[in-house]
Amino acid sequence: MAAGGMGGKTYSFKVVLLGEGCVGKTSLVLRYCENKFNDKHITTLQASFLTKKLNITGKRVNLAIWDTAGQERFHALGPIYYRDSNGAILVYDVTDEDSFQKVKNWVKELRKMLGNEICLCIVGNKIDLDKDRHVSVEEAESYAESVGAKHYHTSAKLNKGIEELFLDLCKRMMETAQAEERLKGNGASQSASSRRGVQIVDDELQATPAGGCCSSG
Amino acid sequence: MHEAYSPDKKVQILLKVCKSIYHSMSANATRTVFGADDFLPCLTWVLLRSDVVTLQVDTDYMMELLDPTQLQGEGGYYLTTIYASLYYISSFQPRLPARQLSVEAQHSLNQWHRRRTLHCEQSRRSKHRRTIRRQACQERDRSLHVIVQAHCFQKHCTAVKVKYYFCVRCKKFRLGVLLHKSKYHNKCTPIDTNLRLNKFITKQSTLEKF
Repeated sequence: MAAGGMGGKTYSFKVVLLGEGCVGKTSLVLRYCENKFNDKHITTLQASFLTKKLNITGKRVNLAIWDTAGQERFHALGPIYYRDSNGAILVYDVTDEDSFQKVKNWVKELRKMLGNEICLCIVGNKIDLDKDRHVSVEEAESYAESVGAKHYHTSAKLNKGIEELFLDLCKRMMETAQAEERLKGNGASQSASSRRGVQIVDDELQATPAGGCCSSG
Repeated sequence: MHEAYSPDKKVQILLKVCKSIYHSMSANATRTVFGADDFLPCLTWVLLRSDVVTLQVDTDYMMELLDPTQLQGEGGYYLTTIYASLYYISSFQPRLPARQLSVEAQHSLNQWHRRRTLHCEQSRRSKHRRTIRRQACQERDRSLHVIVQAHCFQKHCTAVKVKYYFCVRCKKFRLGVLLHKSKYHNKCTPIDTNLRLNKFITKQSTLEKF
């Protein structure tokens, strides 16, 4: 949801982190948010929910990063979290083939539920353990391409590739938001923003034509 | 949490609760920072151990009334987490973990989302949302059509408040109220209802019953 500010645009994006337990989702996002803003920025609570403010080509971007529980038994709770998100980061462990399989399942589910509006990033984490790699680079990259996602390699331990991942994701989400705005047109967005207060949608209006049958009955 | 009146205050209390859970988690571990992988199970455990009977009501209350901008923030996240946790508890089956949300839960989430984003100028969602609404309209339209048609016979009888609907599977008219779910008998499909109903109307003899 791109919210228009008074001066330049401010975008607010919701990004959801998905992936099996123990693939390093939490350390990935923690590394990202910790690195630049020190302790000052870390919110009152912990690493499950983090925010980050960015400035990309003069436009302000607020990122809200939602971590999810990756254990299999919590799989069904996914839709509660990823509903309405602009981007998803699907993390797998390069030394664990099962976790890559999980990513594939998530991609299928996300595309089914949210369509193409969501920007997907497939992330192979723990590349510092490259010698134990069980998921081949070619396989992962060709899969990502086939589902319209971008593929990244990161290491939360060595702090590699994380900055690029988020920056790239932000840019893609901005593009999506801008394309959406253009599609909507200026007039429509103005009227939408000027409309305030309660908005009533007539869902039942359609029923009236059916009443015509009474005269024939 | 139940004592607080405004949804905002309730969320503040919820955040305090979450914070103290985190606090006790880190007090008993070597690490100090936790993600959702660890937090959700802990929260679920705490909820199970505590005897907060009003929690479901309060959660619904907050989800309905919290400011839409806040739903995107930290309060929204932990509200979502507590909703997820409550859902997990209420749908818990010991042996087989559910792979998907139940249809009812998805439906109610969608409805909730529709309600809460109506004022938010959410350009990117609007297209998608409109299609959903139109589908729902058509569906309701179709079922209302059936009711109105069924209503026609009621000219012959005295009942006004009672509506009839035609069930395709058991091929009978049934008494019903205007609740959306009760229009069709159990799991009978609404397909082709109008057509069959029209045929039915021509058979005056069957109408004698009504």
